[in-house]
Amino acid sequence: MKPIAFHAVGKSFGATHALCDFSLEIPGGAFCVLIGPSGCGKSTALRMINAMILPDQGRVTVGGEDVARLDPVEHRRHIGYVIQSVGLFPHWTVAQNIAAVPRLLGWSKPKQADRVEEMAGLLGIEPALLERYPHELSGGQQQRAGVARALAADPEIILMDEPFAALDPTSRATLQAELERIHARSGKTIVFVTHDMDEALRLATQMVVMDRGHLVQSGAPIEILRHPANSLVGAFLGGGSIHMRLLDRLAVRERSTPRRTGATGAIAAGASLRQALDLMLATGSTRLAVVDEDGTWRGEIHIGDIIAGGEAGTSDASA
Amino acid sequence: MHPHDVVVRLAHAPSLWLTLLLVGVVLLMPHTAPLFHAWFPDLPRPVYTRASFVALTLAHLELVALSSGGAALFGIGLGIFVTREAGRDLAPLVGALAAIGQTFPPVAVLALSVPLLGYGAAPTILALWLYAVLPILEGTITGLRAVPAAVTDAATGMGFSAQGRLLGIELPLASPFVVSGLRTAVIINIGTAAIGSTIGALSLGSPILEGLATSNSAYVVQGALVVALLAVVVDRWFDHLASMTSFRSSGRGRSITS
Repeated sequence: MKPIAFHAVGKSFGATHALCDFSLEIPGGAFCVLIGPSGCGKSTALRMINAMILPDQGRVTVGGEDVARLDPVEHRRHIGYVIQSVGLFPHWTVAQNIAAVPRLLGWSKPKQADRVEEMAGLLGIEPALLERYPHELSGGQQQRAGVARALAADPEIILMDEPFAALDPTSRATLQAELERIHARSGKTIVFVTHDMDEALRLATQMVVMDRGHLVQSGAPIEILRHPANSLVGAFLGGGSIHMRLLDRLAVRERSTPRRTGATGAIAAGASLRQALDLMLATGSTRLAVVDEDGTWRGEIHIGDIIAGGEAGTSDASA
Repeated sequence: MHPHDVVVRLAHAPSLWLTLLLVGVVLLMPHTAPLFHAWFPDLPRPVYTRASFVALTLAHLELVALSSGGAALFGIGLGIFVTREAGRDLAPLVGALAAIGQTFPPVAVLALSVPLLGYGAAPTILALWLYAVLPILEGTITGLRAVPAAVTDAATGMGFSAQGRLLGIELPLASPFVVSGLRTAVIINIGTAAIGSTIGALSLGSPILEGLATSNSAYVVQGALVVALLAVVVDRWFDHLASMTSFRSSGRGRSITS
């Protein structure tokens, strides 16, 4: 897996400084989410990885090689690319769109067809849709095709620029879940730009908060939630609801203890603390039994466990 | 598509019948003397015979084809150039020059080019070429600019070369606009080519001019009839070409069989 690194990168567009002294290491296999307000330079940083934008100062390296020295066309063919407006080719069928990069790479027709079928299965695209044209698809289906197209040539790195921002909440949640699954299974490096904090917290293994061309904080989502670097990060993380978001990221099993006081309701050990709190609010009880996936009893969680742990962030367990 | 379906579709298309009508009129013109004699009884020679209508039509088409073909190469090429990074700054200038080119009256262009190119087909082709460049250039620029930015961005990001992106993505998407510009240019030129006969080019304008000069209304009618039919027929065939390239707006896919 190729790591990606930014070494003191600077970039200006006219009088606007898009990136200032920006340094970042993205280890191979990471799900790195760049987040920040619009104009913070996150898309600029993303587009430097596939040489769509070249830095004015500093270097961007992929697998140790300076991107500016690589043949951009050849380099891009080995990096998946997904954008918010999808950009499917309107005069090509969905199948032809998915096969675009394999075709550029000169794969044989049968190999292309096999890969299209495989990608359609992976992204849940019905075979009947493959012979359709993009304008005949819904927004969610189009972005599934967009993601399938980015994955088709089996790139080690996938760049995604707000890919789900234009989708309805249901399609967005489904595609996020599928992307999580694909990442977990393939171990590909994904660099993902968003301004949606919930999306970032859900998907990231490495979260990078940016503001006005600077890197403000980088780390695991849960660490950033626990220790926001400054008030700006705190505000961006959701101001008053940081601790609720933290509860979202922590699993019940991290706070449960093997005691037996006769709790009536039950919750799965893998559920989030927020779900446990919600169930307590719904049932009016302050204690819940905790069970494993196979239904075996594991212990109990009390409302005090949720509150005590959350406020100081003392638990070292990670989600 | 099954070959039989093509025949059935053409049978329902007016373009086929109009083409047959045009061919019939051109071939049968020498035999229409009784008809025109009845219409214009005072004329001693009611049918133009200085050149056959087959030769006139072919010469006319040659003028149109050479000028429009040259204008297509030039206009599409220039349209591509001014929509690339390198030529972007020249776009307003090129647009203005092409517009000026079209405001010259055709007769003035003919008169001015005679001293340079002599009499005959060459100055006519130059004038027609000048006229055809603007619509083709405009169609090409409009079409290339209408390609969604997301599509070109995605193509570049996926690893299309500049040339591969132009040929595989941008020009096919721009083609309805290019075809529309070409259609305007060709139809204008079919009408304007007749004026070439004033400086000695053989065209369907030859009978019209001789008819005007010798007060022979039959010649005028004969030349004008064939020019008009030719314009209508060519326009119908462009209609087919347009529907082949405008699959996007009609929602019809090329590989979808119904």
